[in-house]
Amino acid sequence: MSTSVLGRAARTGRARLGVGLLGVVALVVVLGPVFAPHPYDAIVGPPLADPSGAFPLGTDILGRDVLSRLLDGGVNLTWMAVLAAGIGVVLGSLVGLTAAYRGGAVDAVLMRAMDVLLSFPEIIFVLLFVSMLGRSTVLTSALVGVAFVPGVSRVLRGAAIPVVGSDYVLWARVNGLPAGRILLREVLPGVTSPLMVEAGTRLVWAVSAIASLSYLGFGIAPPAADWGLMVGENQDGLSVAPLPVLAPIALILMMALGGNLVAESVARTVGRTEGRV
Amino acid sequence: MTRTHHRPGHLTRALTATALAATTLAGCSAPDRTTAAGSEDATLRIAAATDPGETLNPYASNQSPTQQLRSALLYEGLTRLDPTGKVEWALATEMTPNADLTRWTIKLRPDVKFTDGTAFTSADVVASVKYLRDPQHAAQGLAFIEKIDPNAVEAVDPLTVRIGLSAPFGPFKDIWANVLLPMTKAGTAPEKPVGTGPFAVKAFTPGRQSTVTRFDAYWGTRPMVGTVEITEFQNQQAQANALLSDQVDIASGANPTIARSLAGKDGIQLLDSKGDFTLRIGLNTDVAPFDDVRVRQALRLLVDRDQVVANAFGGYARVANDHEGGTPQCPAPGVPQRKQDIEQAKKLLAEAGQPNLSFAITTDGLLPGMRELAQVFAENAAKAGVKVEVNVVPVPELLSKWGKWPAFIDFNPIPYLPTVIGSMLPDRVGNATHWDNPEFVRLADELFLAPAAGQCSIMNRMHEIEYRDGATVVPAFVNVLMPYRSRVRGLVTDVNGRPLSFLSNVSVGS
Repeated sequence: MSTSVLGRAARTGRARLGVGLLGVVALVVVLGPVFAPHPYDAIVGPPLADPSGAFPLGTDILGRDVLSRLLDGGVNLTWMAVLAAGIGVVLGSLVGLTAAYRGGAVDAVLMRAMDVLLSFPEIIFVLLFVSMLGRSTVLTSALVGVAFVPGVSRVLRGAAIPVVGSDYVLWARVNGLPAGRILLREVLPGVTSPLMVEAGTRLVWAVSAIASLSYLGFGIAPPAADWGLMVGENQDGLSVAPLPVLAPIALILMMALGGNLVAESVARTVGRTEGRV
Repeated sequence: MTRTHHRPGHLTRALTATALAATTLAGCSAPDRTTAAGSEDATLRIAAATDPGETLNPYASNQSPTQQLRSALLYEGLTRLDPTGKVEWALATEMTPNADLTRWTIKLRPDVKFTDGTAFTSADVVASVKYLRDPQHAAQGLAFIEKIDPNAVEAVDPLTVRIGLSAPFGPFKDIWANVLLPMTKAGTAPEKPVGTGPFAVKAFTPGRQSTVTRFDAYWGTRPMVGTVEITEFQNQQAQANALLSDQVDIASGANPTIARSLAGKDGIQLLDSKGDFTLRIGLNTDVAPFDDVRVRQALRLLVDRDQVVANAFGGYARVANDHEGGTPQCPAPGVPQRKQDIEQAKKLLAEAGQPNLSFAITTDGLLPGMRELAQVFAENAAKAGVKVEVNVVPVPELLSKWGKWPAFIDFNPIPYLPTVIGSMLPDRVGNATHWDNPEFVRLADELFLAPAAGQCSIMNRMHEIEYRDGATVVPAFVNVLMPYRSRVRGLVTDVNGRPLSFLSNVSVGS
């Protein structure tokens, strides 16, 4: 089963590094808020103060403790990225599998619709709707997820076409099993490996997309602590106080890089074994 | 501020419009003109904010900062403000009212030439005033001259104009100092407006760059630089980078953080104009609970003004007292400085039946410090259990719902008298708080009839009403910051935050 793909992938050094990086970030996200020395939105010192005993990473542009904001700022990014990747993968699989299974006109219509969606860069797509509908974290995550649907659906359609043509699926169709059940029970297990790779990759993309949106001011609203937002808020002071910008960037980087390494090693393992389980 | 003034204010803060003054300031460190002879044809390069929609028309509605900056180099009004905020004569030399202040006779400055070489006369003033006064043109300055009767604007002789008003109005001279009310050659606006300023347009690419060159037959002090080049940048950090890499000589917009990061750099200095520019939180009195003065007072008591100055504005500000400024000529009004008082605020909120008040402050965050002010306020308010969210929206959204936001960040860059006319009286577009205080209105009418000597005491009584009953939280007067290369000499700070209006003594060394 695909667990063995995961097992084989996990034995690579690349994957271990990735898991390690993700583990560190996860610790910061989960335990950080407990250890934050100050409330994330409290103004506790002069703006852009140098690191000191009281403020180990200095203060930000408003005089808030950078360390506290850093420790508090990963939660939103994490759940938003997971939600976005989840929406993208679920909807994308649905579209991709349906297109592969139905074929013909349904396939053509669905895939051309995906092509239209694909022609919007994901950030532009999200900005379009956020500027019309207003800013909300759930909306932003959902939009990022929807922006991922075309990519996911294309990959899954490609992976599902050979499975749909295989004898056991034909058998199920001949016996008149409902389409939903065939897709779920017969086709889906055949595309687990590409699905996992896709989920991992989309998670990484979601992290960078949502961090970018917060940086641009269209994601998480101030005064919330958020890594992407922190970069945007403090960038003007970069030359005076680099830490308020560099520290959140380092964490975003670790999160994205870690996820990327894991997804990459799974993909390589799948590639080496040609998806065989 | 009015919606129309909203953007000009942005402009002023971000860029500063140039009003073409040829003022020679006593006490300013003007460089010796003889030693500067080598820089006669020097070019002064100014970085400004991008405005793709800009035109050369000084009467356009919703003018951008950059457009005003350039127009002010090209056009002049009947009067102007000096860097200390005093009104002085420009294209006019005398204004005399009739007994009941309903008709004004304006004497024009003789021997003034337009930049195309033709003479400036009363016909041009009549044409300009009529153009401005026509509501169809939607000129941004219209709000300030609505008392003018458009059918009673007439040329008496080539250097005399008579203007009739629909209601008595005393501070006529002050109004014309507004940068939005310049005089252009008859028949040239809006397509190819010609002004009387010390510079004329040489090249103009909207959204990119404009170049203006010295007009040698200018009536006032001849500028020392031959050319001014205004280059537009997407944001203030880009302006700062252009300054660092020596692509420009002055960055006309810089927030406190950028100013601070540039401060220690080699060859860069900071022009720090302290004035009465206010950034304030407007509370819509049409919306509960802000219709209750106790709630408004409670919110004013929640602000830690020292923290706003230090943390929202990086120290480049001074504490304000919940009333507008813009009256540098007057003594301070006798009201005590309001300080943070959480207990009193809680008490007022409880009395008003709002112990768990929660609301959002909307801002477009366009000016430095707007977003920061909202956040510091939110943090301060939390101390009394008041929950404040900061709602950052794009500029067009803020403007499209102008007057409807329950709480919003606003700004005011102009002197007190036009502020009153444009944004504090009821039913003005600029009055987005819909504040309507009958006593204030009565005093404003009194102000419009008062002789110059009596104005200060009336204005101070108006400040007192703002302090007691007003609908804005005014925590600080903010400085206008412009980093520049030290080879630029002769820049002066300006109490109205428009130091680039005063270029006549500016020179650029090598």
